[in-house]
Amino acid sequence: MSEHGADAMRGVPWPSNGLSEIPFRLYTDPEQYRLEQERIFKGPTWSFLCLAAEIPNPGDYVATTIGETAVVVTRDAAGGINAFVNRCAHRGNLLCFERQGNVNEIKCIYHGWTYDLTGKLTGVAFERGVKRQGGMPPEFRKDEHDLARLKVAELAGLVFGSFRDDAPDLESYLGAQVVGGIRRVLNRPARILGRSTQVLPNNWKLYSENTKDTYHASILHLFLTTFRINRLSMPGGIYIDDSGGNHFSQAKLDYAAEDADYKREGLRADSDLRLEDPSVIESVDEYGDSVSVQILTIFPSMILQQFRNTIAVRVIRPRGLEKTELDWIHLGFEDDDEAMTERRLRQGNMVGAAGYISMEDGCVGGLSSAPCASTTTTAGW
Amino acid sequence: MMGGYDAASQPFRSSEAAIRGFWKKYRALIGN
Repeated sequence: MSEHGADAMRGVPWPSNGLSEIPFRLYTDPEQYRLEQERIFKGPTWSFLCLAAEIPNPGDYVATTIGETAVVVTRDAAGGINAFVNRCAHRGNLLCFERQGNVNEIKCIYHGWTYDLTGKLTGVAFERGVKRQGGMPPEFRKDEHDLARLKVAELAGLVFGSFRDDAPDLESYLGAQVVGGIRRVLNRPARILGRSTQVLPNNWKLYSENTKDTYHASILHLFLTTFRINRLSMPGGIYIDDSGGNHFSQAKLDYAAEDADYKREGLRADSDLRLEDPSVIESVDEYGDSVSVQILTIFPSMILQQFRNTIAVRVIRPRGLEKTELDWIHLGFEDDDEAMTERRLRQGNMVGAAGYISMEDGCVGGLSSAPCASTTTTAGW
Repeated sequence: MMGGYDAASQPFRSSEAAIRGFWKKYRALIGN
């Protein structure tokens, strides 16, 4: 029996010990979804919380989620970053409603329980009662009712949290190569250019797979193939950490790469189509290494994308078995000049919910969901 | 299976190795 004991028996059974056959029920089974919340999102993993640049000043906070659990991230008076569950220790009421803001303390609107910026309970309304009647019992101790804190770590301006004290330190969790992939892209202070959220009509894992799927990119996304932006024939590779969960892929721009394979597959490799305004794909080699595409994933729910000069953090947020919210945070750097900012914004038309490239990813998960619901057979990877 | 059966780094991209990596990590955590 596994370390999870008898509880593990309630999950979806796997047909083999291999990694290439996945039961479709993994995407549709309610009990599996519950297990994922407990063992993955609240397990010994690290999830993206926010950018450090979003909470530069004491009192700044961001309200976010890990899986379906509401979390608050704060900057305290000493400059430290804290994260705790966004639920009052009293009755579980949601504490912070706005996505971000600045406060001196966090007060629950329900019964006025108050917490400092580290999540410590500092005040209980009418703790000693009214007119010496009622109130909390004498043995009540505020220091036993702090908010449930998360372990926090920061890397290259990205703030991560974990529910588990026994989670490995962040860099060990990611592996040296993936850490290098993050530092390559976020090599100086970032700033947010914009953000959006799209709703995907599918289980969260279908999008996770999509972001790790280098095979599909220049097949589903004909914009890439047609305008020779990214083809599998261009130089590149896949780097996967020992755990398997974290990875990045890279592709280098090489218009002279042999494309006989594409011609044979009939993938619009010899199109006469031309962009009326090619400025949307015009880019500069800002890192000096010719890498035009890097897609990096951090298990379970974060993607760092460098697509030419567009840089974005994507966050996968499960919202039930067949609904997923996908957050896009579009980035530039503090030292970008006006021309670079305009370039990043223009190239931003290629990504996001309606992006020339990524729009297909917003619907292909839904096309996979219907077969998942109607069959018990396996998918092959 | 595209690119083989394992979940290791590869010097090419016509592969589903990273998807297999996702399931490797997933199974280790879920416990089934």
